[in-house]
Amino acid sequence: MTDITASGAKADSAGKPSINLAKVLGPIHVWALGVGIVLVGEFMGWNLSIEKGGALGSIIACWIVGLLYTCVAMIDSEVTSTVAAAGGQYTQAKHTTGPLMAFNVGLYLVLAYTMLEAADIFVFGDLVRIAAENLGAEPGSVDARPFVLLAVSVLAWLNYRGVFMALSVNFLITAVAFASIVILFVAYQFGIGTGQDLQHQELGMGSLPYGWMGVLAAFQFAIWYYLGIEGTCQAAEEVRSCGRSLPLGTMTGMITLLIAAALTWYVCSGVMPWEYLGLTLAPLYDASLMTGNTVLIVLLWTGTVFSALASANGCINDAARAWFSMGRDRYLPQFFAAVHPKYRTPYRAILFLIPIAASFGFLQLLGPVITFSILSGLLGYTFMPINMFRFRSKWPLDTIKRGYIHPFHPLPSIVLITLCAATYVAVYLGFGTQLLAMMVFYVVASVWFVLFRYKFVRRGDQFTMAWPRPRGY
Amino acid sequence: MAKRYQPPQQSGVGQARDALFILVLTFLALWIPLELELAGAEKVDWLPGTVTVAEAPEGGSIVRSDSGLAKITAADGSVTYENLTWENLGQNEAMQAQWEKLGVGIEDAAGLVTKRYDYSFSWIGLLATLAAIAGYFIFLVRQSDREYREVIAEKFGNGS
Repeated sequence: MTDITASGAKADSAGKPSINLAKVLGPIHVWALGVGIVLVGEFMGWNLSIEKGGALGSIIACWIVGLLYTCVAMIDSEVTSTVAAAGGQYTQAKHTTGPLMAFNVGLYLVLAYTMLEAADIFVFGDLVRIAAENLGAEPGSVDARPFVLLAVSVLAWLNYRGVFMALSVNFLITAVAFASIVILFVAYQFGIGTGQDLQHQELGMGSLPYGWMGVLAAFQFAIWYYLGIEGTCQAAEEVRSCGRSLPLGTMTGMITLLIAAALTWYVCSGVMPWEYLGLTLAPLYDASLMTGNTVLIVLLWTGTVFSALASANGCINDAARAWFSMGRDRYLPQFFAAVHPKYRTPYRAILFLIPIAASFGFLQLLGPVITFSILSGLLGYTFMPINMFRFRSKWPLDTIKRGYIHPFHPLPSIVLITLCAATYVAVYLGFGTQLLAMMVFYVVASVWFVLFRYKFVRRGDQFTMAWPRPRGY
Repeated sequence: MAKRYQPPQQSGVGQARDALFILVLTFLALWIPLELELAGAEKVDWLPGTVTVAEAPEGGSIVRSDSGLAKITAADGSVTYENLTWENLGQNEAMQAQWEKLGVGIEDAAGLVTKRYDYSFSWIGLLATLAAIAGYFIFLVRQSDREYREVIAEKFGNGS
């Protein structure tokens, strides 16, 4: 059995050792990264699944898609605790499948996070506008863009300045956002300051307005409950104890999200007609507004804003790591592979991607942006069973030491590929043309990589793990 | 050990061009479905109960429910209702109270309640899309495997 000395670090062209990313993170940072990115999905976006399939359809889809993500988390935990390098699934793909797949997986990651960041920015701007109007400003008179620019600049500075501080801040604001969901649930459940009861039965939440077809269609946006939890893997090169911190942070993050999703659905569907709930921008905030309780309203507004900022912060972190890793391997221009000499962050990748996300956020293309993010995530999940089968066949359990071994293999991989196929059908029902446009995008990018980019890639450098030769090669 | 492949150095202009290529491609993938007005699923008129659909006298359509509720969409897209009540919309007292708490009046609520997705689809289109996705992954795995063999040969030498 071979032990692992993980290193994504390389010598530069002059032969001098490069500066590495700093290993400073613990399990709470991993939790903060994963949950921070995703929790905004409970404050906005998940409710589009109610529009697709009704309230009951949404919660059924939430549970089934939760199973999809549990499989993702199990597979990720095993492979990432063994392939401990920045880039997460991208780096896994390099070691298990090959450069072209890695290039595609890297693009899935960058685009999923950059588009999610754009959506976060858009929502943050809208929340500022809503708050201003609730405080008496004329509707339409508030330009939220300066606030958005300020928030994005602060997040960019945090990420530039160092990963430890960026994710410590994420832990705090994510914890506040999560607490706001729990407090709203407790207030409604026990009738504390809400002035009304939850009325699931009376609001017809037990029915499926579109039948089981609606449940299937709801898969597309049920992904929003969890999209990005796999981003914990991006921290692999910066955690102090990868084999312990990543599985612990990821699985506790997944449990947190399952609880948050269930509480969110339970509260919102108990106070709003599903036809309204399916279309509103910020359902939890609406649920607080319906109480007329100032404390709850301020708390939920704060929670929603914090969740959007935490998500944008985590997305900046993850997209930059994936972009940086691709630059380091020359899949993208090497310019982006620089590590800050003092702060040890991938600062060029951070600074390059932020204006792109902000521009998409300002373009107000929320629907297509969310769909692009979801589809990129979904393509990444489809890769994971391929990844797992190849990982176990090239290096069976007795050949290399793993930080974590997920149980029941190959069941999680089979469940995952089946649920991915079902989700493609759901996306086809709602956004079939965009799905095809996305496939064209990735095919064109792949052809470009093979014809014009692969020639810059150093072949042997793509394998950085101290593992034995893979079986069959 | 396989001969070590020495990649060419890329110029600054070449690096900028490659980054720009990916950016432009991303914008196009977002915009083309929007420009073709093909993004998002269609919603159709829906009313509770048994429904009949007829053409309006001056163009547009009338959707009428057996409860007496009618939704009239004029040729210019404007919508009016006949016999619009919470009961005819299928909204009970609890639902009505929540709509009012949300500050949504009956006309606006009707706009939300009387639109639903049409999930009818083409099996051929669905199968072709799934085949395209499967084909894309098969291409990726096969091409990646060729490249992977070069990586392994350079890293570990030829032969096992």
